[in-house]
Amino acid sequence: MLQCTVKFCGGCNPRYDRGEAYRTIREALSGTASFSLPEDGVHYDVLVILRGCTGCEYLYEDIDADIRLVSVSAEDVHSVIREIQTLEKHKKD
Amino acid sequence: MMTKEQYIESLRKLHLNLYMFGEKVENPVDNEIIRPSLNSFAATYELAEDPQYEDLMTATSHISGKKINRFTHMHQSTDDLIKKVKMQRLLGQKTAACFQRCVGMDAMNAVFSSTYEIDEACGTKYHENFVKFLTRVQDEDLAVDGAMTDVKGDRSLAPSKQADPDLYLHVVERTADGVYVTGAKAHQTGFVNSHEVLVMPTISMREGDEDYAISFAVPTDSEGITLIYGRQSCDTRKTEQYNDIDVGNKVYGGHEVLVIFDRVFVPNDRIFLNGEVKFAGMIVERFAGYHRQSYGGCKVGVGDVLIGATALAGDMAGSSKASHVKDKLIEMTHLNETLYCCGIACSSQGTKTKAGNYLIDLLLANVCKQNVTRFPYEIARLAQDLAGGIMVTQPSEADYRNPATHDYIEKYLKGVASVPTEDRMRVLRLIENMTMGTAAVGYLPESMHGAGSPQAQRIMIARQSNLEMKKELAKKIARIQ
Repeated sequence: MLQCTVKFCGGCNPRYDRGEAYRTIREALSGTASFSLPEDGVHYDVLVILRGCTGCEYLYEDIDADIRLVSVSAEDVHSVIREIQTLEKHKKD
Repeated sequence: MMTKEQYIESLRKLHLNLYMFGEKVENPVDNEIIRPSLNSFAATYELAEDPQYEDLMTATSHISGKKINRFTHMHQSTDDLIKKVKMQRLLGQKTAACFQRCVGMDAMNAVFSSTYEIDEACGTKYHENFVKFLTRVQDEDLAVDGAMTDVKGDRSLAPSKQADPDLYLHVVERTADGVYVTGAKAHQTGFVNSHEVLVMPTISMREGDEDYAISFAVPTDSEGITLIYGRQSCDTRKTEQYNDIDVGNKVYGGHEVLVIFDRVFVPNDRIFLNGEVKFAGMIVERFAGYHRQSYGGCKVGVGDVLIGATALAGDMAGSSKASHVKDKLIEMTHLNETLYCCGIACSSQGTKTKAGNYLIDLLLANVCKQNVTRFPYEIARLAQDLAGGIMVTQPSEADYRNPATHDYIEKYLKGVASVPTEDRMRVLRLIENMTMGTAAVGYLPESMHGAGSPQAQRIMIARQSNLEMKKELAKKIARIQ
């Protein structure tokens, strides 16, 4: 199972509900990936960055992760889910 | 960092000498007039705990390297300055009110850089004193009130020339251990919800004003401090039997108090300026600059709520498809985002001070605040235009709850059939609250006068406008020698 973590932008003027997006991602990937908030010294397979808009381009380099997936809209949430499903499939293969 | 609950409990331990409506308030925390302002302040703690908001609400201390609340942070980059504005917009959106903690953050950043430069010029140890104070504020996540505005008496006279010497806060006695101060600070936002007060001079000073050139920090419940709570329009609606719909914003609010210092003792290690008159102006200018930047965030967040409420009122009345309604909502958004542009712009052009923290671009910050003295009034006017007269003529909640009148109100205040009448009443009361009720204090006159009245910004704009360079540009194009 992929070890994933999530980082939210600060949320000053989000164009979609980032909390709801996180719930959607976790539910869609239950059994495929585990999610937790980032901790120092922990390595993750995937960092999901949930930005509320296109304004802030932080990649949170201090979080140790192999892959960074960024969502800037409600539509991106589904791409994030698909990408993690693909990554998990490749990992199994 | 403190949790919201820890913060509220910490306020219960304060022994404030507070008066309101002619009586001493023994328990401000649970007082129904004051509590909404506490809830707004507490949101600065609550959101810092939420992973969805921590990227804006927290920062890394340059002193300890620990995660701290951004309200106690010394801005370390232009990115920090931008995040500050975004954090303020966020909190304005969540509270639709003044959340009060900005003034302390702005005061601390101003005094941090100023004390460094005062020490450099005068050989004093104010910066060391201040860093010691700041370290405690960051470690304990304290709430700090920034106190600048003196009551000023006769505006044509210098502090030391007033008929009553106490009309500007000043030193009345010096001892080996510290100083005693007397005077008053007006319009103190959030004082009742703060642990410490950071006092600064209110204007530039000259020789003869040495006793008035004083900056320091003391606990808000220090002996000799008396608070008199400022009343707001519609404030006693909070005390009525039915105090939900009619207050407009049940949970959040803001407050100001008149703070009297009557021989308050300040120990030496809490003094950050003491007689160096030529540096009073530096603290004033920097604090004002930071605070004028702040308004490009907080008022925008409040404006977001007002625009949303106005759009909802249109939806509920069935008028949202009318072209003029759409156009007015666009205009409100344009004005609101223009303020935000100014807040972001003055932050992005910030520069590093000698002390290491970042200062905003002062010209752009003053332009920001100058716009804030105007645009919220126009946004409020448009909100009242679209809300319609029913915003101020609808019956009270008590009549809505009274069986004798409930059905009439339910029937005749109905807008779109699918929308409950009560929901429409709530939105209209929110617009009333923000444009002429308790929250209007923060959204309108505070936009006018907070961080300095309009003329104060115009003076700064004139100083920073670089007019001679502009004349040279014109001369060159016009081919004038």
